Amino acid sequence: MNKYMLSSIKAEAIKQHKSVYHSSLMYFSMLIWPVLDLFAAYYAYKPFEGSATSEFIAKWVGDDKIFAFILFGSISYMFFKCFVQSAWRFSYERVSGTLELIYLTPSNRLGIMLGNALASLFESAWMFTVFCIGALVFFTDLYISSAFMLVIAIFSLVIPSICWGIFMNSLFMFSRDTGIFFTVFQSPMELFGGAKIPYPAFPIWAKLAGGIFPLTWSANIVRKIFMHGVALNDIQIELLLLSLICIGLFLLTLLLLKKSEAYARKTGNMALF
Amino acid sequence: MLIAKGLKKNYISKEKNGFFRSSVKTIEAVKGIDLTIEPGKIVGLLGLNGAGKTTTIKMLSTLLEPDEGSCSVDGLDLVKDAFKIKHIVNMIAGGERMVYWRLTATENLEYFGKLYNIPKNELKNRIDGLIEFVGLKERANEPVEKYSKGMKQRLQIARGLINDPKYLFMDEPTLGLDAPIARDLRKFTKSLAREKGKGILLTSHYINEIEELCDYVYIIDQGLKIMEGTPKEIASIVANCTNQYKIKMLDFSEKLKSQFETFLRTVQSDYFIEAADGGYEIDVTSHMDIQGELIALLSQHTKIISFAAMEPKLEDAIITLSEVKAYEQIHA
Repeated sequence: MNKYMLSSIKAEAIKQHKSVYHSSLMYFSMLIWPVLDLFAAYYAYKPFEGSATSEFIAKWVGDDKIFAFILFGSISYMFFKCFVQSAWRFSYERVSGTLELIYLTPSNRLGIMLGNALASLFESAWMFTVFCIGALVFFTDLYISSAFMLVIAIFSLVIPSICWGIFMNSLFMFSRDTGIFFTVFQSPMELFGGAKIPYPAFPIWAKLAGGIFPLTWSANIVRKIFMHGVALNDIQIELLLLSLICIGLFLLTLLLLKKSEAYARKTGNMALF
Repeated sequence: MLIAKGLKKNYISKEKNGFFRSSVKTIEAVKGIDLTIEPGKIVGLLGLNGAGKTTTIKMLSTLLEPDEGSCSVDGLDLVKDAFKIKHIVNMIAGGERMVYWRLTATENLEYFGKLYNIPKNELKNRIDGLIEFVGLKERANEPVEKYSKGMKQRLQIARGLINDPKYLFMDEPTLGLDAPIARDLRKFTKSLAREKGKGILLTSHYINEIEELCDYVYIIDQGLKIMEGTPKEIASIVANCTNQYKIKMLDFSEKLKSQFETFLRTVQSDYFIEAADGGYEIDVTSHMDIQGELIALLSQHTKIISFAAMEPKLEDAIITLSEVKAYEQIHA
């Protein structure tokens, strides 16, 4: 990692954090919305308790673990959502004319994307903590096999969501109209990523669609660690798949960043919004 | 030294021909511009809106890649060595955008300074100096959204100087600034060139600014250079191109009208007359300085109440120059 990259990551993370968390209301909102989402997830499940739908889900996750399943799916999904929203916010740099100024500097482009993603880590970490406390309050039978596995769970969320965030960010660099990617990726990720429906319950085509989203494997790992107390050996395949997806996303991001800057220099679209 | 030769830039634009139909159109924004910026010199780039000034500046600052032509900045190639060139150039554009409104002036400058990887202590000193220079010291720690338009623009200027660039491209930097701040900026721009040896490219609509600051001037129109020279040379052309006279006189007899029109025809000039306050007001536009002849002719026949020679407008001069250029091209 060169000095420009470190400097760019730091500068961008601090700037984004100061831009977004500019008032105490933002902190209040951060306290409220994860709690509301926690309740929303719980009461979304409630009406189906004992129903055919509930039985269908229970077939895959166990009768007594449906709420825990939804809860940890939501935690994982919201972790990713924070990073995607952060990428979405970055697309407003084009409107404010600051994107051109960033490209005017010799800053490390990947560093900027990483810095932007890291700024939302603060939000995600907070949300994760609130959810985990909620989970511990609601479920007394949760257990984790070791502190090391807790670290694995956190890394399984942080690294893939950062990779996903910078990938989305690099897509937004292409033009002002790439907001379509937000629509194309966000909802299918929620649906096919297994955040609310068990991944094994999907038909083959949906499994293939869901398999490309890192959320699918992150959620799977988090659930296994928190709900089943698995050891590292039990999640090797998921970790391997997740690592491959992350490497793929990272390489794709590097390529997209290079191509998008070359495209912008060719077309002058950086100033269009 | 910055030497640009034959820079060209085309944009592809879509033209709507119906709800679902559109055709692709190529717009030649810059059609081959040569220019040189020496360290320590201020070069003016003049032109009407759409002339290609901003595209030229964006090419020189590495934000756009030229389609044709070449440019070397201190021996570095504009395309191949773009990353290295970014260290030694910067751009200041007029307007309120291009800064972070929710951050303070200091935070904005810290951010951009870090993107240039300026060491912490050096960056702090530089920020303090720049904030003092642009007169934002008292409000340096307030969010930019609370600043006036002029203050935001002053912050823009500080941002453009954060990397202590060797070549600075200033796109109408005094637009909308209060007179004292604009004057200070002109003074500072001059000192950046004369004392610190920076090469500066300046675009402006104010002929006085160009005359005061620039060592050399290029005039472009529709992507082509139509003239270059020292400000003195340009100013004399401007003056010759766009002489305007406002004359108030007591009466305008048929005899005077006939002689007046004959004279204006010989000097290829136009006039407009209207009755006003028991007399007549005449507006004369001429590409020549005919002040003496006009006074002599009119005073023979009537009483001149007032005679005002209007200050020449740069825009008019550029229009005239481009018309002459177009005429020469057609008849070449």
